[in-house]
Amino acid sequence: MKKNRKIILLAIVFISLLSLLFISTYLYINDSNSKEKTTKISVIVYGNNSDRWAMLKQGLDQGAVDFGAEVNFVMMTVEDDAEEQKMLLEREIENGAKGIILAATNSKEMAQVVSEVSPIVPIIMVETNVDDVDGLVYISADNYSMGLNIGRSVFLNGDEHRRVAVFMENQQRNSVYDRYEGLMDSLRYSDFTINSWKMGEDDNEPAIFLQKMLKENLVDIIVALEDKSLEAVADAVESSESTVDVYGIGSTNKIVHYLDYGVINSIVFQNEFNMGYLSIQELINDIKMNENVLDTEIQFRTVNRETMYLPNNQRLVFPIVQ
Amino acid sequence: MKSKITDFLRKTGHYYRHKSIQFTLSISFSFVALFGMGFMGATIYSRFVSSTKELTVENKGQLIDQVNMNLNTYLRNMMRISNTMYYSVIKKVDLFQETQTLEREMNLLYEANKDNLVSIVCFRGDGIIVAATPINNLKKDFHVIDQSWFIKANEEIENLHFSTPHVQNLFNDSSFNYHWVISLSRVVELTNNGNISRGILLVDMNFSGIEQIFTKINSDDSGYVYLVDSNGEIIYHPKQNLINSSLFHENNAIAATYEDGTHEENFEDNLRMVTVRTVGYTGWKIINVTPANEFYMSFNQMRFFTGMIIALTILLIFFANQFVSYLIGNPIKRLDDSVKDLEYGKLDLNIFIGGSDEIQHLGRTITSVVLQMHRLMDEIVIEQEQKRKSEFDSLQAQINPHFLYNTLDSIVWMVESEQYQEAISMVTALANLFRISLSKGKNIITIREEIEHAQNYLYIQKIRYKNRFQIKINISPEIYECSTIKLIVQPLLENAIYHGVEFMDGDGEITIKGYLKNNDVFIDVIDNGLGMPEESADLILTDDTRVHKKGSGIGLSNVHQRIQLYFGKEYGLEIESVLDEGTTIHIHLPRMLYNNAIREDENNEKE
Repeated sequence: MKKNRKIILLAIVFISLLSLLFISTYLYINDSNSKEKTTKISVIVYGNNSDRWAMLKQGLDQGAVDFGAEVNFVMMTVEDDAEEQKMLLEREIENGAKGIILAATNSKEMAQVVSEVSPIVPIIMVETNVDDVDGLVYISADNYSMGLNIGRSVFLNGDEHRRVAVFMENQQRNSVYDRYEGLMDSLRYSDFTINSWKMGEDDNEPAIFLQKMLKENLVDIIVALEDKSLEAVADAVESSESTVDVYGIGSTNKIVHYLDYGVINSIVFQNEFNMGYLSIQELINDIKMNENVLDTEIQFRTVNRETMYLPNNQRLVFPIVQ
Repeated sequence: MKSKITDFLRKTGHYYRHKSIQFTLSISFSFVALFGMGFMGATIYSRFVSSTKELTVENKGQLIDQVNMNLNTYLRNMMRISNTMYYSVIKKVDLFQETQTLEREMNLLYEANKDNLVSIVCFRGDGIIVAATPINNLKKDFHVIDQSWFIKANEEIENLHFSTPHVQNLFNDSSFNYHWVISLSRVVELTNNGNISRGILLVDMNFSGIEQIFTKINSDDSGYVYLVDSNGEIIYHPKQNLINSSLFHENNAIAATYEDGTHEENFEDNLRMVTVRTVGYTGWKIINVTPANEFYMSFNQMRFFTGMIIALTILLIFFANQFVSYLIGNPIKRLDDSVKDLEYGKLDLNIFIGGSDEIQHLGRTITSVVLQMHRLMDEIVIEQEQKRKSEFDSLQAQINPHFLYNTLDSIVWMVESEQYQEAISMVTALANLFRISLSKGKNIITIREEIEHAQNYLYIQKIRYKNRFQIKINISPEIYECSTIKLIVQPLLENAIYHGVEFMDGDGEITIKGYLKNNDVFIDVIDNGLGMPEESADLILTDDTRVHKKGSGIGLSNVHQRIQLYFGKEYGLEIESVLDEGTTIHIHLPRMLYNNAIREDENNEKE
């Protein structure tokens, strides 16, 4: 009897020590767990102009800090090469990316690879989606509405019977195509003459092509539907000292500068900071919590030379680079 | 409700009173431990919470002071540049002759503070540039006089005005760089050919200076610091871009109204601690925000830890209680069990002695008490036996005087009437009678002796009663050597003589029969006297008080009791009597050879 009691007592002491050990271990693990591991995410965008993606990148960086992601930002070596982008996508997945944020360089050609990859690795499409792939999350401003808005600005430009040229670059991206449709719809019932300027096979440099077109054609307004072409248009107009009014969608430093100096009349731009931030947020939610994430429409703004310095616009047009 | 509580307390009390000491001890101690530990845990936890809060507040205070100091340096630097420009240059320069000097000095100052400055510009009251550095190519269509810094400076001419951050858009800049700046504007007196006019001095300082101060501070995870102007407009916020995009909201408008110090606020359902410091000169406010859940996380851990420790301690205490109460309670219980045994009349003495000193003492005391009790009981038994014996002896002694007197009287009478021969026989018989009566003090004698004694007695009585009765003695020889207690036949004969045959002249007959029956010895004394009714026959054996005036005085009941005392309840006398026909008294004895009986008797006496 006495012996039994001794054994029980020893067992109690033993269990107590064990539980103490357990508690301290638990606390220790808890502590180390609280420093969350970051999730590797790859962001693949089209083009090779880092300036064009500055705002998106800021949003991505902020999102990475807030949601615990390690972002690998990948650009291409050329403006548009679907093969390269496919390769980059596959490389990033091979390198262990847990999620992909993709701005498709070619909506049609990228569709295949994206539809293959998306069941394996969560993909969030930003800025430009791919065509006809189900279940993809797409974060962007409403491109059609942006087109409508730039069209309205053109329309409000004033005089009747104006000649409008639309610089048709990068139409392989459905974002640009949607904007184009919006633009065309908004001007459908106006009496404006609308020409589409499309670069031929021989034309390599957009600015030179545009200068040529400006010389050859009499136009009052040129509209460009994305950053790269808007920059080219502004460059061409600036260098040819033309008085043509320029409208466009985009907001790189160069575009803002041209807007400030009156080369560009009015721009529509989307809040790419939001785009980057929200894409990280949704991707992390998808990866970590398996939440069903939804398409998110972000805001866009229309500004001209007068309104760009208004405090509310100023902060978006001139991002404080942190 | 009250009655319910009282009822509960009463029941608990009742329950408690009827539980073992071990149970009561362990439950009470455990309850006290639980209560004590709970109280201690709560105290430690609350102390931890308050000290953590204090510490955090203190830390945040220090942090903000540091920011404040850096910000002050930044602002003072700006003011120093402005002051130097104004007092050391503009005031001493006449623009009419020395515009070049002004520009040169301005350039010098700019170069010296290039890292922090974006530009220094001096305007005339109408917005025309007097001098500017590093670029002085003002944008066309740009209306300086509409700018808020220009207006503000003009409104309060004696003050320095700090603007909120804005993009500087004064100059044509061929690079695409746009600087976020903070403008310090003031009214200055310009001297132009001796005439004094009002001008505005603008110092644009790079916003990145402020950014750097805050970025460093905000690099750790615990909360963040932001800066607002006196109207609550955000000057710097670590999540400025998110705020611009409406992805993040800040309570800046309300926070700007807070006094310096630490406040708690509930913003968008988040409890947070806000520490505010006002920056000198500008009325700006540095605001530190620490989300409450940051505390609570560490609180939760602490709570968990405290809880675990308390639980563990309670567990240990509980077991220790069990053990201690066992140590205390078990000896008491065992002692109690021993006493219970005693209570139920278990005689073998085995009182538990053990446990603590007091309990041991108690056990020993009870043992000694019980021992003493036993001893006393034994003594009482012995005393009682002795008393009985002495009583018995005295009863035996009663035989002598009366009978002796009568017999001696008869002898005297014989001698007087000169019947010497009869007298001699009588005296001889008397002597024999006494010899056997005495039997050297023995109680047990043989039946032979007893019968002899009876014969002697009868002889004497026969002479005394002048042969008024006949005697027949018929003893089976096999019982002669059996033992009997002495003086049992003689009282029966006495009884037969006095009650049976005394009054029958010559017809009385007394028969003594001795025989074995069922291996027991029977001696019958039979008379043909008056007899008696059955009731009185039964009464004779039980009633001690009937002592005869005549005779030896030993009643039948005495004989009966003595036989039973010596040989057991199954032995003794049986009386059969029929009125007017006679009485038969059976003496029932065990068959016991004399030698064995003597030994037994001696043994009894020794004990």
